[in-house]
Amino acid sequence: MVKKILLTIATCIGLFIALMGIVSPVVAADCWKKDWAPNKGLADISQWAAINNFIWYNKPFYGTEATYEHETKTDVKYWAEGTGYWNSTLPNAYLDNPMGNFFDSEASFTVGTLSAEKIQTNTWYYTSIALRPIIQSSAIVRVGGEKGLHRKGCEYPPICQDTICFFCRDRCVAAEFTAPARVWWQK
Amino acid sequence: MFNIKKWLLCAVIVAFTVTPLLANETHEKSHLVVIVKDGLVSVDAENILLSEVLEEIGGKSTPSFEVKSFTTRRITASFENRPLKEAVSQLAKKNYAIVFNKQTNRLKTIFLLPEGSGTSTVILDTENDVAKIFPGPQDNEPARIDDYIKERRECLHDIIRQEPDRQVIVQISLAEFTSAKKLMNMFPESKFTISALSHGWGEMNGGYKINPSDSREKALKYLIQYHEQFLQNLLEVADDLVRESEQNPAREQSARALMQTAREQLSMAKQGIVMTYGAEIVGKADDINHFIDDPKIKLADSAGCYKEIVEIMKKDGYDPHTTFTPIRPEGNK
Repeated sequence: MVKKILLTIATCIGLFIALMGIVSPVVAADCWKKDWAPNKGLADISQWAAINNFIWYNKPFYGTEATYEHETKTDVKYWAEGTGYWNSTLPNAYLDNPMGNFFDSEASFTVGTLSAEKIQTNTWYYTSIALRPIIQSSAIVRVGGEKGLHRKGCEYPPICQDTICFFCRDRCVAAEFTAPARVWWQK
Repeated sequence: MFNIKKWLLCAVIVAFTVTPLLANETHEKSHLVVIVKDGLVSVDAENILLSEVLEEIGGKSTPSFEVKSFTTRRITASFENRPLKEAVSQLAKKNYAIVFNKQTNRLKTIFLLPEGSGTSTVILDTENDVAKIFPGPQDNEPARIDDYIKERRECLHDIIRQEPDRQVIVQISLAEFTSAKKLMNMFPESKFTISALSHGWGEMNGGYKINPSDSREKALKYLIQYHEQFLQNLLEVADDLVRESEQNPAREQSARALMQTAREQLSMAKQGIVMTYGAEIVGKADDINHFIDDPKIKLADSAGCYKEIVEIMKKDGYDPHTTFTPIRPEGNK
């Protein structure tokens, strides 16, 4: 009887832990520190697609030469690769790494904009990249952003403390989770 | 009678008179004053090598940057208190590339390119030894875009003139949005290979790299399939976006606008229509020549027109990745 109870409790705890792994609220890594990072987003990542929706509540970039890249990265190299199709509502968008993979340290599925200063507040943006599976069936992925050229207001790293400061790059992680998954995140 | 003392005195007087005049004249012919203070640049330069002016600015900036020059252009310029990037842009005008060090977040180098190279932005990924090169107009001003289009056309004509039989890869931007099928028909399969398409409509822009082993019919079929699939997904997600907009009218409106764009394009895709505005075309130079002046083609660009910066990056130890982003036509339709 006691054994049965203990087994039941252990099973419940095990199930609870497993469930938390799937539906636990995603912890934003460090984008909450960055005023240039989007405020909220939805990441739907699988071996078939990297789809991201995200929104800024305040204008993140100024000047005529700002870039922003919305990244989906994984350290698992042979998880998925790009098929060549991508789509986005970011202004003047580009696919950063056409086949998505094959740096030594990570696989990257990223769409960027060369005209980040045109990003509007309170506007949902969208990026999608069609993928195909390779070998590994699951992967820990990090969704986040990377800012590029910026006329002023760089707060990181310390070298960009000048009033007028540019050529200032920075990146952050909005969410880290095990894919496949559909995950809301916010700052 | 010849008086040597008088002549000597004359010679001395002349020497002392003329030498300062010559010196002044030399001084007036070329001089350079550069002040960099609080990130603002003031320059007074007359007939000085552009590289020298920029090196002076680079040396006085914090952090400093270096200049690698492939041109012997001389300049005369005078301005005060301009932000660094504006100063560089004003001095270098068109043919330069700015390289950023991704690791240190610094302007690392300015490359001054030969005439006709056009502008490029280069972003260094020092973690992966990649140089991301983005050829394009200096900025989005219509006059700069027009200049860029004109320069590239001239460059391409030069390439074609020099080697009419050579295989050339050309990136084109169309003057108007055109269906993928119509775009393919513009370039007969017997003469041209289409290796990539830039699709777009409304706020959307994207790309499709065509598998070389796919027929055009198959490539179009796959493009439509992907497009339908992702637009359908977006339509479904848009409802969630409305809900997550926290009853903010602007956010809800943007979510509904996304829904509308997705719906519109999905309806077109179901009829086999995906709108495009650019493509990457491969063909013989002489054949390419017949379409680059076609009014349907807004811009025709080629790697041959920015090969200098690619070579420079290779020599610097980077793997150059060039990303060409087509110029969108005016308006949606």
